[in-house]
Amino acid sequence: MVFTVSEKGLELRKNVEEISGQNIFQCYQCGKCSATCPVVDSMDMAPNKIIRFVQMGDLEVLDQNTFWVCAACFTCSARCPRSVDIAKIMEALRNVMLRNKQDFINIYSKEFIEKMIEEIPQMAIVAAIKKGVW
Amino acid sequence: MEYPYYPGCTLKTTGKKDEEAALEVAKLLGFELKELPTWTCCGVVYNLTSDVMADHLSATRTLIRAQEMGRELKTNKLVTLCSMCYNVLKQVNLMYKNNPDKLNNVNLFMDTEEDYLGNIEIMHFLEVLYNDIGPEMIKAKVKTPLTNLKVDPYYGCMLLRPKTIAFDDQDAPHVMGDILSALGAKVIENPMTVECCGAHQIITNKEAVLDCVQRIVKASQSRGADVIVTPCPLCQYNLTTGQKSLFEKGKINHQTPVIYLSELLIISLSDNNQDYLKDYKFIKDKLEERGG
Amino acid sequence: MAEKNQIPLVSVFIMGKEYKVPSGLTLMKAMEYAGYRYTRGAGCRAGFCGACATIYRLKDDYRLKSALACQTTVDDGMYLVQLPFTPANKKKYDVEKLNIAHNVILKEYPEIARCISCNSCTKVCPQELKVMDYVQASLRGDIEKAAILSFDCVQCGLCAFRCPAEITQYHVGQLARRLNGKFVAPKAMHTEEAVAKLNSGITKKEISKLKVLKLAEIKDLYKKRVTE
Repeated sequence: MVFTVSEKGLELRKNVEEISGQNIFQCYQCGKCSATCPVVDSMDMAPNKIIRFVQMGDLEVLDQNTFWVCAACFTCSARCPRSVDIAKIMEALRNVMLRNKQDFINIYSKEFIEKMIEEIPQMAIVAAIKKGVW
Repeated sequence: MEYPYYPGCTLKTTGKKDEEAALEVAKLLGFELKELPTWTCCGVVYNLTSDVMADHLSATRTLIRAQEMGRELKTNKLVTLCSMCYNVLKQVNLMYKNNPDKLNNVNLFMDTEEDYLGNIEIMHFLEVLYNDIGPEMIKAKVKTPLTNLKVDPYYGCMLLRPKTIAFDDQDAPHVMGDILSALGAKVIENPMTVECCGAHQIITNKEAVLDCVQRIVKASQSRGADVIVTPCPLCQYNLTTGQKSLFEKGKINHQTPVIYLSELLIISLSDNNQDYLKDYKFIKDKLEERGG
Repeated sequence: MAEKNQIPLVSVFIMGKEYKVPSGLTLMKAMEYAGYRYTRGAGCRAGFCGACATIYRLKDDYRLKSALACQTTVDDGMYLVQLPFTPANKKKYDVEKLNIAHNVILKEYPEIARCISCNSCTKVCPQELKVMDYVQASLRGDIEKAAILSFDCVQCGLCAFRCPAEITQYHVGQLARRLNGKFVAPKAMHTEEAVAKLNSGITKKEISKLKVLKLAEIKDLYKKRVTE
């Protein structure tokens, strides 16, 4: 069976590798990242599958919520037997979207403003905005 | 001994209790945390891309402030209380150590500041307590032993990951437990101690945070913890409010109080712990249980 | 042709076109000398209103500098353009309904969370304010500090133009000062007392006396008034 990767798929893979500084083909799909991820239940697609999609240059990867749900807790990176820094790959995917002017959150939406209740620590707000707005 | 100290935004607002207690603990243990005269937000989350430098500027500016104050105090250390500040400052610092070119570029860009030389050592308050003071010394100063109190030291992510910035064993950390043992408390081992609390997902995906909190708290409660101890203001917030939501939904039977390590230290080390005991009546009750 | 004591001329480039103008003129007067007429972008001409924000660059310098056109004199080889208006984000809020919870400014202007501490705003401020520091103070809920640090802001808008995080610093500072005035700073009791006194009508008698005087008598009174 022959796989062909689209031009855009190749570009995505190159972008992710460049932004993350990781060799995406280092991953051998053991799935430990997904097993160890504390928020995997909220993800459309498990982290290892995300990496597989990037390897294959499948643009569908960009429609998943996975990298937005990622809390950058570095558990996957700490436990990867192939020393792939998965957190950096998630950051790269976020950046691919953000640099294409596709913000994850609109900080002026009613929905977002309502979340800024008085007791919430600023660090949560700043972190969410740094990860979700270009 | 005086340490330059970087509070961070949250320690001035929702984490105010942590700061107040920690400053007092420092005095009781014979050192002082001197707040940097000016400081900016650390950035909260370390930018993980290889090509964006802008997000490192805020941390760098703080490192320069520490360098200035360090000259005065004759030290190259900078102490933080917040886990996320610790993580970001230490990662940025390390990035410069590994990439002198990037440091050079940043120094060229920040032309209104003195050059950052890359020599600052970032320490979390816990590290100061453990490495510079030591559990033995702390034990010697205990006024009220926390006997009968079952504590669950919860680390969260930011102190121990990535490995390059961890100051304790990544999977089985002992520093906080050793300090709490020195206070006479019974330290329980929670396998979830290094699990993430969900962090900033509290804003965009509260359900994910509740999942995390439920796992952490259930593991803690099944081992009989009276109190969960954390050094991080965001963990404190997520665990506290998360438990409240879970309790309302009937997913947990009771709520375990989550307090800062510094507050427990005050209760144990200070003669002046009445205010804290009033706030945390369950601790007072536990201490009285031993029949004294 | 040559007159005695003629003021030397210097070259300035206004929006890319070269003009010879006498040295020593302010940027604003130089532009008028060159034939521009102000319908916008000139206010008090005394450095207080912030209407005449200007960006310029000097010959052989890579930096873009900033100034108020009414407060800075021309240099030879100056390239300049005026920015009479900043299309900046400004929130509508009712101060009466706000509070001083630590998130209050963050809630009105969440973009301050995007500040990366690049210091561009401080570098560009013609009032030499510590703009970055007051944005950071706002972020951490230190309303008093933000109000004090931004006190001399003339709202020229240059900071907002330079900000890579698209923050409107001068409106953030304004909100901080309003909150500070309403909730933090001690009330100016003497003003309240004075207003109450006036409202009680203690001046009525004197004013009704003045009302019936002739012009010459008023002038005479004015001349004889007691001054400090």
